[in-house]
Amino acid sequence: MLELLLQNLVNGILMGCVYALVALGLALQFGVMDIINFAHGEFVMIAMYLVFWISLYLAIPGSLTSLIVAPIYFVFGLVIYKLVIDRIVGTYPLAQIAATIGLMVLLRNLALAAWRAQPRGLQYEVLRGSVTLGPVVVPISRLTAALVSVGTMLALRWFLTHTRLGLALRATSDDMQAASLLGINVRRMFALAFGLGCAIIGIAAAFIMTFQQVNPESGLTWGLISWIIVVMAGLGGVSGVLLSGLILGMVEALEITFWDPRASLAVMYSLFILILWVKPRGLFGRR
Amino acid sequence: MRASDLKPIVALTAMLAALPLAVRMNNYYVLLLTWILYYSTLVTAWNVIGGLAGQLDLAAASYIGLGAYTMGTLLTRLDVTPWVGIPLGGLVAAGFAALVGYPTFRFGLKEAWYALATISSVVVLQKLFLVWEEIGGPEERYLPARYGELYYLRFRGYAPYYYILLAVLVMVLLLNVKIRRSKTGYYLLAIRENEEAAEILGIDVRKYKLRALLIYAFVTGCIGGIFALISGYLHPHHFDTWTSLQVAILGIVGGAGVGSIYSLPATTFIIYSISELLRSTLGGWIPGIHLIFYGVILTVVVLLKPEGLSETYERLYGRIRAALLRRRAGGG
Amino acid sequence: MTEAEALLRVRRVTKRFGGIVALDRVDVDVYEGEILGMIGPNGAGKTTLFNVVTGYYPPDSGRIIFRGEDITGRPPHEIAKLGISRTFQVVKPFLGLTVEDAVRVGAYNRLSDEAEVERRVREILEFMGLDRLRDRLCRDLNIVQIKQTAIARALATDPKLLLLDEAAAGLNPGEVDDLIELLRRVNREMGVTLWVVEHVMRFVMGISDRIVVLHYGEKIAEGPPEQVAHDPKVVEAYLGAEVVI
Ligand SMILES: Nc1ncnc2c1ncn2[C@@H]1O[C@H](COP(=O)(O)OP(=O)(O)OP(=O)(O)O)[C@@H](O)[C@H]1O
Ligand SMILES: [Mg+2]
Repeated sequence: MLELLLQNLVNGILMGCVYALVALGLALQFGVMDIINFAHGEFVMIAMYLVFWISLYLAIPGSLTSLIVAPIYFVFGLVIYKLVIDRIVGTYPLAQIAATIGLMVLLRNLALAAWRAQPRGLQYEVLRGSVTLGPVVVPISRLTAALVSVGTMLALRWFLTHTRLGLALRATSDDMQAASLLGINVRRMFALAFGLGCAIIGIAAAFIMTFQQVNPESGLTWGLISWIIVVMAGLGGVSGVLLSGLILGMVEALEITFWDPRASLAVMYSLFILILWVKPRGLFGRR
Repeated sequence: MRASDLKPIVALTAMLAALPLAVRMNNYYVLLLTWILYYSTLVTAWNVIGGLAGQLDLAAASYIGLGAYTMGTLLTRLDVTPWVGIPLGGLVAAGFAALVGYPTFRFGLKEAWYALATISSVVVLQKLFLVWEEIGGPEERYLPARYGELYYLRFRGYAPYYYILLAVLVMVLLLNVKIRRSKTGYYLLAIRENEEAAEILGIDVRKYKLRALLIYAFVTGCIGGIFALISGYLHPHHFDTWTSLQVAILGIVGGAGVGSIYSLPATTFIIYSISELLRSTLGGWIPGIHLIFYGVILTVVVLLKPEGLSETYERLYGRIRAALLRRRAGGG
Repeated sequence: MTEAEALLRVRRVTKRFGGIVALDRVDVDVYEGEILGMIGPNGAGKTTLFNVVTGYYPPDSGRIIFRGEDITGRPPHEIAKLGISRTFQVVKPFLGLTVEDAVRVGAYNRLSDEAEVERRVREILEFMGLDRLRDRLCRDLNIVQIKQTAIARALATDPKLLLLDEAAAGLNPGEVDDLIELLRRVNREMGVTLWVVEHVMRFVMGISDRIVVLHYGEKIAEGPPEQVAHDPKVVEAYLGAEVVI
């Protein structure tokens, strides 16, 4: 039992890093634009398919496709921003939510139409095998995914604190009006945040595919996990997102150890409702 | 309630009651009409929370599933008649709704949190009922096949259910009209328009949102019980996010809360028919084409006509009326 | 005037936002029947004080006493029931409601009988000169009409004390005069005590019985209009006397 728990906790921590990375894109968009993208999970799902097809046709390992998918997804983010998001920022909250829900329905069913319901997994991947640490077996693929996740988060944090563009993004997030008075083009910052958020999804998707399969329904799960993390983190910045991801990963590990793996979403959801009950501004919010 | 409020309801009821006869009780069309009525009742109920109170509720399928399982479990295990099981299912749904709604209706909390909490609840309940072997589980649980007995409310054809749903639709329409004309209705509209301003006019925002939610969840739970009777079995896939989304989409596109309540059944009728047409003609080549259609129409309507289609209908209706009057005057 | 007479007493109220001290131990008394003006440069904390009094933010410390009752930390809807209403600097209109319905929402604050509500709505609309616009959606109003509707719906709640946050901003001089006239009538005929925040000096100086001045969250002056206008501290706060007079 103890060994199983240990094994699951290690898995949970590794998975938590990946969850955090997936949620990071959403948190960035939410922080800057104050909009929640309901299609976020579907974006992840589509990116996973991209990884699958690119890896298949170019015959390169899935992990390497991140170098292609991330820039493609950055552009994809800009396009979606221009087509949809730009028209809804600052309008009725209901309209904002509804527009991205439309996107969610559209993407999910387009994926279903194009690729049918059967799950797809990578044919070929270099990140194989595992390392054994005492009683715990750590798959290389998950370990790499976790390390890349943390690396990407650190990189984003550096970008937000040490570059002009990053500082402008943060200023927009803190106070849109003040930022525009300082001569920052707020709309461009929104587009940037949206593109960046999507690029991060692209990176995450490539590494998730090294140990998971994708089907058109998987979007909802990724969406749910990301929403929970964003609510948990409040406006707590990159570290808030990472901590929330880790908490979620470990909660899932405990649940799997002591109950039924199929119910792990239910437990995560209860956590989400609990946070709304007791700390509606998030666990790591600034205010 | 005013007499002028009742007239359209009477007219609509008469028209809908005649429809199955108009298609000569053809099975396919009666089935189609039954589903259209089913969604019409759901969307009209949704108007209370989504239209009047302006809260984007995506938990319809949670309430439907809870209503279905409550009614169905009572019926199969304890032989409790659906006449009792259906309202009990409504109560269970309302109880669950309160659990999710109360924390998310906190004053000043983001609107999106409620939408997130509700759509997630559907996924979660589905998983929970899969795991919960005593009540749910992955196997279908069939309802007793005691057809034609009023105690069991089970029928072989769809026509009886069509008329049951019609009765429910009339009740839900009346409920909407009644709320809309009451203090609660005005308060909900104020909350939808601006929560902060509503507060200082003396409105306990959370209380009124919760009231709207409980009404809506109760009705939807009851409809869920009827749904189980129609489908004849219980299964965790009754907790279907797609149903939730569809209800909200029809509500938004129909302009819930903005214009006339009748635009909701009208929108459901039109969109459901088109999507069914798409599915039956193109569905073979492009699976899910009808669902893609929903996504497109929602996105387009929200971007181009955020207040929904109700105004378009009203203008259309006005024009048709004017044309008719002119013809009558001219033709003598 | 003794303290016991004050309708509203704000005592040593402090409110911080992160590092910013928006209100620093502020004391204000509002007396029954008066029109109290409040001025201060941008960011002085005027709106924040209104938000604290009407329950939108809890103060970090200090007390707010209304008609002898401690209302600190009560939510806005309870405060409305007790008899305080307000308008907002950033107007918060009910865009999808008609003018009449917006006023009706306010009228339900104290009345539940539909006939009485109806009467109250008609009364307020007439008083405000809004009866022509009763069936108009707020969406279709101009800014002056939107501001009038905001005052109308607040009055419909039957307040003892009405807080107006920059009601004259964006109005032309003629409209400002009309507003002064209207608010005088609200004060005299309806017996509503007014507390008005304003940058338009012609307006505050013209209407107020007394004025308090906030600066960086502190109350720096208080008194009759002419006295406050020449107070050196106030002049300094505004960086030059010409702005004040
Ligand atoms: N919700 C908030 N969060 C953070 N800071 C705030 C908030 N509300 C107000 N402040 C800050 O508190 C200070 C006082 O602001 P307030 O709006 O009360 O000023 P004001 O006197 O009404 O100014 P103005 O004349 O421009 O309306 C300002 O520095 C403002 O930035
Ligand atoms: Mg202000």
